[in-house]
Amino acid sequence: MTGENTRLLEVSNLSVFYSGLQVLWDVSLSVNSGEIVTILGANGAGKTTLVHSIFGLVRDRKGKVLFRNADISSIPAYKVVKHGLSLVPERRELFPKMTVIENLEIGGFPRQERVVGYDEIFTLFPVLEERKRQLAGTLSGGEQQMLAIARALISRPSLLVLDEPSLGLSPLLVSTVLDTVATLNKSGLSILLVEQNVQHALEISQRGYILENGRIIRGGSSDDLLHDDQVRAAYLGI
Amino acid sequence: MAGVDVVLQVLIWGLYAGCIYILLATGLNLIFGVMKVVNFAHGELLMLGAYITFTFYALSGWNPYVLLGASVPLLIIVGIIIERLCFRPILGTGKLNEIFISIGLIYIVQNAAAIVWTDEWRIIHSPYERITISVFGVNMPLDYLIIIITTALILIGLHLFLRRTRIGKAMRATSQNRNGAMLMGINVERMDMLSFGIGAGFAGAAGTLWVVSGQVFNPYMGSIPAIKAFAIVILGGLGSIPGAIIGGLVYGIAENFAIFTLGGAWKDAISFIILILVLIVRPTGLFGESAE
Amino acid sequence: MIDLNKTLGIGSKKGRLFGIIVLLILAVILPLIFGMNLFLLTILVLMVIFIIYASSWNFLTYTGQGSLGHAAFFGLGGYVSALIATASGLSPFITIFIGGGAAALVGLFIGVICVRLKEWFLAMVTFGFAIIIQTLIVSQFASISGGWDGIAAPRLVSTTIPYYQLIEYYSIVLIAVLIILLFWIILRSKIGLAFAAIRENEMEARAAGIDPVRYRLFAFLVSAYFSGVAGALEIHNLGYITPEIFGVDISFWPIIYSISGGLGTLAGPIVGTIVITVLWDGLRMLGITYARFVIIGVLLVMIIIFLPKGLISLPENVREFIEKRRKSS
Repeated sequence: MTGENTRLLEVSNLSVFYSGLQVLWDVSLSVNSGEIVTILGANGAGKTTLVHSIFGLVRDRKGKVLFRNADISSIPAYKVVKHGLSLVPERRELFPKMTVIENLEIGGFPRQERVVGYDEIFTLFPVLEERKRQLAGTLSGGEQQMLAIARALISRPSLLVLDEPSLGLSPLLVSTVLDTVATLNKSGLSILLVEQNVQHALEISQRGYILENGRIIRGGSSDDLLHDDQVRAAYLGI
Repeated sequence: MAGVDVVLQVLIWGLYAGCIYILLATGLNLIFGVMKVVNFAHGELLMLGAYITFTFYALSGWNPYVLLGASVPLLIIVGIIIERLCFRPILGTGKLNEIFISIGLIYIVQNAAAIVWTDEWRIIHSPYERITISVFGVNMPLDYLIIIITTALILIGLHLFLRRTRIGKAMRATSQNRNGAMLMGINVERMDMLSFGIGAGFAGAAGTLWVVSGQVFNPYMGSIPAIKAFAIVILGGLGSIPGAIIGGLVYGIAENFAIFTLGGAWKDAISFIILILVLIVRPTGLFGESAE
Repeated sequence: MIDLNKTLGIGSKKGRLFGIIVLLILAVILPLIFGMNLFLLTILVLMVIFIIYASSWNFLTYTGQGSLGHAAFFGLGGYVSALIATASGLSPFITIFIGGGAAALVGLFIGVICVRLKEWFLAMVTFGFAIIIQTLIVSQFASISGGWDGIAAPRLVSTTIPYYQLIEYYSIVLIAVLIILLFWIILRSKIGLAFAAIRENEMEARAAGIDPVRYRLFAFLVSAYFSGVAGALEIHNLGYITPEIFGVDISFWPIIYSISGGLGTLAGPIVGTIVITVLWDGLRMLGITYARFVIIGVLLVMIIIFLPKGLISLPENVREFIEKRRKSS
């Protein structure tokens, strides 16, 4: 791994509240340059909340979020992404009445000029080229997920955050999506992956954290987590 | 009775009346699309547009059509101020609040205008007032033709803005998915401001067209056309701009046929009868995407 | 649990009782202190009528509904009562309730359409009905309604009786007290609970076996009925009625009063009506005309933004603010 020592994202002691009710407690985690880091957790563990607060979509929070040593904890979402983070949101959040191409164009918004060429995107996701004049809302679930990832890549982020990319996809598509994630990582992109698909996610990542009831209860290398009896019992049903 | 002639005549009146409604309804829809807010005080912006045209006309004596160049930009500024001061603070606090804050705005704008311009009915005369042209054998004031063409140009301009420009696309993205837009680095609050500004600018243009067509106006004249525009928005579907255009045309024509058959007293009431009938059948409007 | 205190008003039980007693005493003695000043009496009568009207409008909001066209009911109550009183010679004290009945009947019809509609649609349709009814009155029904000129209405209390204005005033106050008492009884009964449940969460209310449509319709009916009674009281007090009564202003006033005071509380419309009326007539005495509309508009906007629970929450807000200041210093 190259640049293992450069800290890209550093979240420290993050606490989040929803209308006064605390949902995250002192969450600390980090992503180094070149890594895939996985956050595991059951439904309602606070994974999406964590992602949303990194991106400034949840405003009621305490703690620090540093990205390349810049404090991004108190700026709105649209400024966060300008620092070079990109999110593939849980529900994809595409623009259903815009074409595939238009969705990609909007993806290039954080940087003034488009950084990644469409050719590069279409090599990665050939299906999108076939569908490029189609409205995003008419795509299949898998195609929509591809588009969401492609849209997040257009601004050439230094960190890609994926929130449950396999949600609602068939097992075959899950493999395709997660393989794509691995491919992206090999080309040098750092990735924070939030998943329920524990086995597969840990296989492609270097490190992982386990989030339970709004707290990080364990962190470590993916191998350790994969072979940990407790983890296996709780998340793999073995 | 010369059937076809009369029908054509009424159709042309309706087309012209429809233009003003379309501009108002499109503006409302643009604001609704991006902010999911309904500005019930939209008619007061039309009224301001009319008075701005009137004032500049009285001062300069220029061709009143040129004064679109004054009413539109000034109304954009007014729209931005209203958005910042009144609507942004209550965004997301409940839809009834939007209606109530609009009522406050209506009182403020109407009566401020009455202080500045008095509450007398006013009228100005277009330089083309006496010119009529013949279209398909029907006489039509030249002003109506200019108004129809101007409206068409404005709508084409909007279409190009929304389809071709970066900001226009960002506005569409915001209206389709606010969270998604934020995550793409779009400053959605700026889009709110912009949509409100453009929506108000459209009302300003409608105000100028109202004045040049020789219709009378006073500070309280805005409510009724705005309410009709709102009825059109509901008919055509909240947030749907094509719906607003078709709805506006259909509405303008229906209204003029109603005046012709039922009498002038029904001019205002007919809109609501149409609206209520539609809502009985379809509580979400004709082409309505159910408003969440 | 749904907090009934929230529904009925803000403040302690003691404070509320004190407020009611002070208000009642003022209502009784005010006209007497000022030696039956006619001008003052006129303002007071209108104020009390509008307290009834605003409270009736506000009754709708308990179920999460709103209306931009209550002038339809206010005016219908007036017209029907005036016509019946004139034609039959019945005392207006009886016909006002018949007028209310007519308003309620139309309210039922409008309500059937409206209960399924939400927010903007509801607002538009109610607004539209006021205009449609006005149009009907001046066109199709012009022969009996007098068209735009309107018709005369018998006074509530015959002018031949000594102190008739004073008697009128006290009767109207009594009617207002009884109506608000009735609202209070309804709201603290099971019906009030159902209203709150529907307003807070319609799905859950349904699950609990509450039929939102029935309760909304009931609220519409009650609201329309007493708005009609208020309208009838007004025109019998004025002595005439014209189609102006269906105007946008008449629809908007109860909204302004209720919001200013505090939406969805019994005290709100009362406090709102009193404060705004005092402000309104005070400004008029200062010779301010159009500007007072602007001032009321600005006040309304500011209350919605900064004091969403209305003026009745002002003492509480001030107390909280002072406590915060004290803690931080």
